[in-house]
Amino acid sequence: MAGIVAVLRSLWVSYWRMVKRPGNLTAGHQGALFIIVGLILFKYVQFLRLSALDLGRGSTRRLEVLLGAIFVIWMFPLVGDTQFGALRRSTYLPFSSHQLYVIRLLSPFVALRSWVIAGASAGMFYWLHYTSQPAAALVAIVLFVTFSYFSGLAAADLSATAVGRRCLVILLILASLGVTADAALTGHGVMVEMRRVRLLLPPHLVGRILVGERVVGSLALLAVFTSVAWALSTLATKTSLQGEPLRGSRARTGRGLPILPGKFAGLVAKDLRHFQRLPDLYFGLLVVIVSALYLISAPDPSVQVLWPILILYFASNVMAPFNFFGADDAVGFDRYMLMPLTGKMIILSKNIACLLLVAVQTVPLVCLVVWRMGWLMGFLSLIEVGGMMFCYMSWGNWISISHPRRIHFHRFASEGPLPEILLGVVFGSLPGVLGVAVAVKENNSFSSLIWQMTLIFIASFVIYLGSLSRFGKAMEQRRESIKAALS
Amino acid sequence: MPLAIETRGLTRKYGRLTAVQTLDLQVNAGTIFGFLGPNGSGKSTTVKMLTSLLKPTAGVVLINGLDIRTHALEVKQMIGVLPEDLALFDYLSIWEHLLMVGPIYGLSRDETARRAEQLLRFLDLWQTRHTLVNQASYGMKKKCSLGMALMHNPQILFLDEPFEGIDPVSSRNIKDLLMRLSANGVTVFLTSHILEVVEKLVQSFAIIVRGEIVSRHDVVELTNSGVTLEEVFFRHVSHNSGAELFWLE
Repeated sequence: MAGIVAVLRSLWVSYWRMVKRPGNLTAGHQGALFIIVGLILFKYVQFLRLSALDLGRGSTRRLEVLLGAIFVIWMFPLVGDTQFGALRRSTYLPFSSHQLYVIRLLSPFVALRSWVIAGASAGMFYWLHYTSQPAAALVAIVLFVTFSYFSGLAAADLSATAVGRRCLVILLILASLGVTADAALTGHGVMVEMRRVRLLLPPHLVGRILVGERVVGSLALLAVFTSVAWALSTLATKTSLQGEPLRGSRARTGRGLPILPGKFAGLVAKDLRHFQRLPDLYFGLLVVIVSALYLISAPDPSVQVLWPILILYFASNVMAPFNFFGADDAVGFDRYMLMPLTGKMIILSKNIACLLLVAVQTVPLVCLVVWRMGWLMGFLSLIEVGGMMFCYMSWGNWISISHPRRIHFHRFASEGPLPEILLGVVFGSLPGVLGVAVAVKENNSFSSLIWQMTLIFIASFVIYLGSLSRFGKAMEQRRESIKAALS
Repeated sequence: MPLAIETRGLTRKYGRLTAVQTLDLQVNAGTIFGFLGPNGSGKSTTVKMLTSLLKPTAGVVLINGLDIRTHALEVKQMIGVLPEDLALFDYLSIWEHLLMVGPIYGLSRDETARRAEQLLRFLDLWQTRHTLVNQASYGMKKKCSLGMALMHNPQILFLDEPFEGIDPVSSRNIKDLLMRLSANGVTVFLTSHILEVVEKLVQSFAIIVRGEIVSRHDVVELTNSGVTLEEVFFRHVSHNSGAELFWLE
């Protein structure tokens, strides 16, 4: 027990030292961050109250959305937990696998965000006033939060090993195939099938318990889900702590660097490999898949639907352009400084890598647009993507050198200076929003649409060139502070 | 003899701590220079300032007569560096690291591949060239970083602890190579804790303690006077007998 406490205490000290490192409470706009978190919590409380009122009317839809959000939110401190690396390096200490699991279980609570989420989760007890089955509801909420926590833990530890990541992907594919196959066999649509699946999901089970429907059965099912999540998390933690997590990566990627032309080819290819290991970027891929499905299946696809989805695509991919040096860490950053490259060249190599990442995902979409809507719309969609790309990279060039932070592979990196990221999303989306605005404008001829879109694109490109020049120089001046932030 | 490396009043401070204090150093072109000192004495900080990894708080660094602040790119083009932390990317293989740096120094793709193969064979890394750096041993990483430093045939080599963690065969090969390079006019600036190796390899050396140079010598003159490098070193660097660790006995 003393050993576990000692490890947790050292993790605690290390975390808070890292938090306090800027030595200034105003660093990273923490005031603005508190305001934003406060606003989110305020909206959460409002939503909590509305869902409680819904309960009185027997409706659980809003409540289920909230539970789903709580489930997803728990993933972030766990899958983004960087303390796990330190824990893995400590396996030489005389701890049993049971003790290591206890440390793993408690270590996310070293970070403040876990406490905020735990507090928000505790807010769900408010529903107890509005339910006819308070005791069962209490158990259901506790089981649900525990289930969410264990699931996050299992996902985090599975994603820490090559084998685990493959298992997760296979599981996801099998689940999708199962739903699709069942839909095809029963003759129902995919959406109907998804609704049927929803009936078995823990948020729906909690909802049923809160409105007093099939309480015992739902509680039993919820308990089974929680037990399975717990078993999976112990297995995943044990495997990831004892296994050789990178064995799979060696065979797969040691020879697979894409052959690219030019002086920066190696640097660009290296960044592309880094991007592959950032789970955040797979949200973008998900948006691309949804867009592709829309373009393929919609009877009459339109850019008024597609372009807003593209705006969402860029918003979900911000971790690539908004923290260009994060994946290099301080040691890798030194290599940049040793090579005969100016700051502008280094940033350009990062930008090319980001451009390639986006191109790989969006060019197939543009091809689909050409197929379904013709060359002109394909061209305009390309301009729409290009405009947003340049604006995102312009903002990213600034934020990458002004607020760099270390990214850990296979961990969510969606933290950072929230106000700057939100403003960046607004700025980056601007060409996209303007594009949608001119596309939906009535009485707008094709020629004027092309003109307006081209103008938006050129403006974005000019802004980008300015940012490349300005922040390339700034990077050289700020190199020591960037390195310190990455170490 | 022209100076390859020259510093004037080189100083680096971290807050109140002065890591390097008004360092004046001259290294002749085509020689091997040893820069010695205990842990935390300022060796690596000095190497970082000489290779533009760290900005000096004060003072000037001249590499082949060029001020590193105003001619950073030209200087980086002519130097090769084996840094303290090796500066490698975890998710690139040894082979990919060498292929990455060649074009940056202006080498063609074919020339890069040719040199990379020859270097890796020489460093005994050819068989394991596809190992990702995060799975390589410390010695393999060090040899990879050394290969990257040599790739563009630099005029000046900065090597921070080149023999630490290296197997005896490779260590011997590297020593021979450094002597050959020096004979061909390449200047080598190295730090090391292995005093016997330094004594056999370098032509001159300096000892730095708490950020200040406390001694500098020419090895030939030292040998003629009948004093060893080790004796000079321990004259300036105190050592602890460990008497208080009686509980280990």
